[in-house]
Amino acid sequence: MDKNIPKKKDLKEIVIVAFILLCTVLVIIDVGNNLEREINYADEMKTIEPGNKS
Amino acid sequence: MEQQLIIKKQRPPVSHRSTTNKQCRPKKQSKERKIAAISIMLIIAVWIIGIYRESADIEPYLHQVMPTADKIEKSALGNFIAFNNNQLLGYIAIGEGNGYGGPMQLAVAINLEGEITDLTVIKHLETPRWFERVFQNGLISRLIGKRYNDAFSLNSDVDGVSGATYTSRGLANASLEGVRRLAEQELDLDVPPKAPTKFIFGLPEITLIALFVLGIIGRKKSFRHTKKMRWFCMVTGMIMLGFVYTNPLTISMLNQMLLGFWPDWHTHLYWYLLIIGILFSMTVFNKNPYCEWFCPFGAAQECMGKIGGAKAHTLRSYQSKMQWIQRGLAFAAVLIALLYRNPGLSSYEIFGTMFDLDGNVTQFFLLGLVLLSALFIHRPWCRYLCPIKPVEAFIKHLQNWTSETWTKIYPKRKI
Repeated sequence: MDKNIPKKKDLKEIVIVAFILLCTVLVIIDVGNNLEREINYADEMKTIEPGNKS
Repeated sequence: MEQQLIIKKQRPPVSHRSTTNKQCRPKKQSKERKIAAISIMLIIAVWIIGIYRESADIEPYLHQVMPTADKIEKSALGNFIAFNNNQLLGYIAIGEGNGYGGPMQLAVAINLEGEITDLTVIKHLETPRWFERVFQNGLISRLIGKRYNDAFSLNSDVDGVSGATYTSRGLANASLEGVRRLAEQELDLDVPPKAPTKFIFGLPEITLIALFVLGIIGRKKSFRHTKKMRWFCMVTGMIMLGFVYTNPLTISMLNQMLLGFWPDWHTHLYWYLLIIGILFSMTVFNKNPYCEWFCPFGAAQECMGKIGGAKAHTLRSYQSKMQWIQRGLAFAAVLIALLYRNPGLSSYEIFGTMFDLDGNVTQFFLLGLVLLSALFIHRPWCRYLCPIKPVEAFIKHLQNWTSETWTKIYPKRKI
């Protein structure tokens, strides 16, 4: 029984670490999307020529 | 019994352990100080690079607002004159206003009667998600057709976008500034005097002040009802600052401060109260009542924790690594904001998703994950992801470093 206690704790710790890593990936995806939108908007503006309204 | 004895023999004596800790502390401290110094240098370097990167070419925007113009010239007063086959079409000005994230610039085109014919945003520093919301709501098209002598007051003359008042006001002010300038300088029209800036002090500001005062009083050792007071503050913060006003502290506010985009205090008093309140209580009382006492998202997590019986788990082997992930995320958010000179660009908090039900699939998924885990883990967002916690720790670290250096130089004097 005693031998199982550290294993349970380890599992809990692994679950928490997995949760943090998953959240971190989601945060990076979200910020990445924002950045992509910003860069695309700037690029779109560069391609506008006189007489053309995008 | 034998097992216990073996364990006792294996563990070093308390006195020995404490000396080992003492020996480790200066090493850890010196490592952290080196990292802090490098971080400050990086922040300064990226801040400078950001300034040099920022050189918006406005020409495409001018053609966007005057699509039929074949020639656009700069006027003697710094505005732009649009022609088609050498016939005067109208004028364009760059209007400026103050949004939620900082200053914004608009290209404002008018016809010869002083009426706005088109508008386009040249630069804005709003959180992209929020700005899209304003854009999709049609505020820009509602401003088209307005004249130089219109009031442009939000919700009476121009319908704003609920939940994005600062952005709506910024856009309205920028277009007003542009059209008025053109009417006065280029069309030589009699422009009515500008209405004085309204000082905005209402329920959000009063609530914030009250929560700060209660937070400081409630944390005093002599105060008896700390627990009850904390729950009162948390629930009030969650309802008022979260669901009603959706204005919690975010990394974009700190980025704004670093970038020097200090908004007009008449209209953004809440911003000043929040920033100054936290810095004041941190330096004077060495405590930050906001996070623990009335952060709306922290309160929401604690409510979930009450339901699920959440416990504060301390990671044994990964604590330090996870802490560095949190610090890394916060640091990257600051650097991105400084590089693009846009405070809201890297803001990854999911407060808007929670309190305004506004966000994309990733944000809703993240929110669901955080709230679900809050049932079992005590404040998972605050402990492992929130960018404010590392910023607070960084400020405290610098405070201690400065204080130590001061006492080394002047041993008798104290800060």
